[in-house]
Amino acid sequence: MITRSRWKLTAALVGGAALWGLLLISCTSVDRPLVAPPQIAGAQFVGSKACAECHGDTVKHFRDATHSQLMAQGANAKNIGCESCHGPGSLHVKAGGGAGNIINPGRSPETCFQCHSNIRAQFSLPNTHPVLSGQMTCTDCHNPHAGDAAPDGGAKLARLNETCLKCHNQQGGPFVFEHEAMRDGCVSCHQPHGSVNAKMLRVRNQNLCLQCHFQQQTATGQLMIGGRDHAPFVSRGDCWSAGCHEAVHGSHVNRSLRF
Amino acid sequence: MKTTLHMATRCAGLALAAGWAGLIFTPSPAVAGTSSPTYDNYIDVSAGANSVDGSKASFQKLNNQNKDGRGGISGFHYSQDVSKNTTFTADGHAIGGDDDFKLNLKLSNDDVGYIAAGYTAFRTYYDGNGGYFPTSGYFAQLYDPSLHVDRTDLWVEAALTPPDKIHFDFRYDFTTRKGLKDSTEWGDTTATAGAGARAVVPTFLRIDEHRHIVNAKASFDGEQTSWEFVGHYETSKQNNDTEVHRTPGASTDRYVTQTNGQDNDLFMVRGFAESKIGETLSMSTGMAHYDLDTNIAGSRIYGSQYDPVFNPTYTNRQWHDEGFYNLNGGAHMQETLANVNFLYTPTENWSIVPSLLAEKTRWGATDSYVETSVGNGPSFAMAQDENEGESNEEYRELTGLLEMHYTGFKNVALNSNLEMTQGYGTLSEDLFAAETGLDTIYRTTNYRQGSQKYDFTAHWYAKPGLSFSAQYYWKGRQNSFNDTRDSVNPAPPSGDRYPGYITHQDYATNDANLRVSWAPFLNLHTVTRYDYQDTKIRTQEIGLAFIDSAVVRTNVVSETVTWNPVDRWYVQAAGSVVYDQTKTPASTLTGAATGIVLNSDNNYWDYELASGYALNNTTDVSASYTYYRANNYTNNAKYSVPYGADFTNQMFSLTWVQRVSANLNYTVKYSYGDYGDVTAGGFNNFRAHLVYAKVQYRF
Repeated sequence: MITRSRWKLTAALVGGAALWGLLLISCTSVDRPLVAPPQIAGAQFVGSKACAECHGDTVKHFRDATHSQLMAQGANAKNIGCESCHGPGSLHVKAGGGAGNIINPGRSPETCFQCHSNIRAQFSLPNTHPVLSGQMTCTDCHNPHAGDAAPDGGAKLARLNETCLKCHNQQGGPFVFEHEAMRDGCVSCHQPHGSVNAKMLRVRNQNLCLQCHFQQQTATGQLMIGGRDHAPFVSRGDCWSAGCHEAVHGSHVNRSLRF
Repeated sequence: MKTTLHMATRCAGLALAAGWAGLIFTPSPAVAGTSSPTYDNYIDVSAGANSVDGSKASFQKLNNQNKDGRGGISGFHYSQDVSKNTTFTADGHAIGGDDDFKLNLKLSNDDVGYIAAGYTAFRTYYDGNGGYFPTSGYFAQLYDPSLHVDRTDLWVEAALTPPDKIHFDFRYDFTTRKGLKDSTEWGDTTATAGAGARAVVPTFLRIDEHRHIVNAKASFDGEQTSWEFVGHYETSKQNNDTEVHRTPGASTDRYVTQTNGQDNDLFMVRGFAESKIGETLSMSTGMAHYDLDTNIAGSRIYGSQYDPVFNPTYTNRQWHDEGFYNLNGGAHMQETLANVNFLYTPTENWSIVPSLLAEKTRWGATDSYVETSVGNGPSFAMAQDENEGESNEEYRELTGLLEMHYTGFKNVALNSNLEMTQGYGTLSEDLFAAETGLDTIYRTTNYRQGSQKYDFTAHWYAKPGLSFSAQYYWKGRQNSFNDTRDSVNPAPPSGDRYPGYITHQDYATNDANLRVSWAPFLNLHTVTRYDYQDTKIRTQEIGLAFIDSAVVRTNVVSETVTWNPVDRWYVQAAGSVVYDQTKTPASTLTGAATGIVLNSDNNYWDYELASGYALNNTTDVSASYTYYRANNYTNNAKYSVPYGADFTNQMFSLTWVQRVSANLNYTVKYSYGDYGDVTAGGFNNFRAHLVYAKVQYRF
């Protein structure tokens, strides 16, 4: 086990970084720009019509995409379109295509984080899908080019929880004894972008279940759940602790989802 | 020492702030383009080594990389025109240490189509640690806690994509998922210094799954009409175990292994067509049908080790040790969906999309198994009962959706979505005890589910570089359950009557966010965002009053600033502050229920600082610092297991990129990471030094 003095370390690190930054301002001249990702150095906006010349299929179906609703009439909105996410396309057009001169949000979440900055924080947390480490991308679950960007949203021809079940199909059942919460969606209990809690749970303690299962209490000193006093049980830990209600997604043998 | 460090930090901060203040108002010179030759192909070879002091498992999980290091080909791309309009491309990486491999090969012709094949493998790390009980300092490590699960995907694909003709696409995937990971179904211990049993002992999930997936698609994309027809078949096998250890080291020490075997056959067909009816109206309609067949097998057996043979006289058995064996059964589910959508654009500035989605789901599941249960001491007699379970469900749902988009105001986009869903279903459940010939559960439940969502969004591009976005939605959902037949203790209130025990449940969510994107100068861009959400859940159990069973409230403020003080230097800062709480009335209970359940705070804040600087025409240096902190811990070990997350994570990195020539560069990176986790009693803490080097050759 490590003992710690975190704030001192933080101060030292920040101070060191600041000093380092100042020292680097030297007099050497350079003739090339350096930009923060996901920008494209030296590129200019060309408009979505230029994109349609080669990517006609994508542009055609974009009109019903959630992100198409960002587009507006007027000079101030002229750069809103493909280049909002893919970056200014002049170098890409000039080169006749290519991968190194345009941003592909399918390879990095930085583009999405530009507007969805609240999601950036969630992906930094200890329990998250492996997006920042590159094994997954936002587009594995969200389609930015057509239809509702929310997985399984709107009038999509998709099974309930289909996006999650693509990879987690054992949790989909059907079970002999189902947990009705599954019909409200996996996101009722899980935060797919990341959580401070293990398994990306929205809540780590008994409240995860009590949100729906807390009932009117008719006697003092009890925690009645499902018509039974659970106070002696929940002192042991979570509702889904070993020996209690482990089969949170559904059970083949027990109506109370014991296992 | 503390004062000195604070002073140093302040001085450094002031100096830096002064420098930035001068630079921010310095006009940025015109962006200079580069004239170096371009290379389409590249190969990156890299190696990294890590030195971790503390919990290596925690390091692996948080950084998703091997505790010792990794190396190999971290990326390559090769593209070659093999004839007119025909191109061969190869992409991938092969990183040892993390078992992270990818190889994609594609031969494509602009007029014909393409053939492609690939293999992907990656590893996700987990720590096998359970909980920490502060009163006794108990923290169990049962396995080497450095756990991982590997996913692989081997695939081939072929497509005919002639311009303006029907396209055909065929793809086959063979995927696997295998490894050991942690679970939160923690086992119990009595090593709590007299606090009673607490569930903090780590539990494990042993994963072994594979799937064969076949997809075939025909599609046509014309000026007036487009359509798509998809067939999908997959067959999968899952042999997963849950491994639980209860009261390790005590006289009641015992292991539980639950095997969950499942074979699935899923067949899906989906058709979708879209057609222009006139200049202002187009229509699309589609239908999908799913047919899922499953076979299940499994057991849950207590013993002196994992994966034991069932022994009814096993020595350490305890009262209420329940399990089962010889589980056999299966389920058949059919789900059909159909939708119709219209896109009406009466003027250039209006688009209106009404949609309807109808869904019907029907499934039936049956199984049989021997249920085992240990009676009270001193004999601890083992009961074994043959059970047969069956359930059937039918559910219908209709969703209506109206989307409206208006751009008639200059530089403004207005959107509104209205969505209503109404569904109803019938669930019947039977559990038959073969030896007594009685139904222990014999129940039919009618249920209804309805929801509404009203969503309004506005984007205003006030001037170049300044935009405002606002979104608000209200969503309500109502569930109701009514048992029309129930064999379980028909006099309410009583236990074991879910789902019909809940008669009504209402959810109401308010969600709003505001976003301001502002570039006050050419070299400075900021994005400020505020998100708010609250959800109230009202619940009524049978024979009881409606109550507010939960209030969930979240506030998020996030900010991103990107600044190029001079062309050669960028600075980027991003941060978020999150206040999130889930509150239930359980926290207000008194007497014997005092303090057992606390409100759940999930607050945290994080920030990232990154800066890159071009030292000269061939050398870049960059530095980054990331930090996040959650502080939600309350030590209520006296009453229950304390859960709230209390951790701090920070990492500092320094990177040097050197361009040796137009097509050769190398990168050297050093990182220092520091993680502290109070909730885990410090057992997950680590400090780590990471060094990494990469050579990139472009050709």
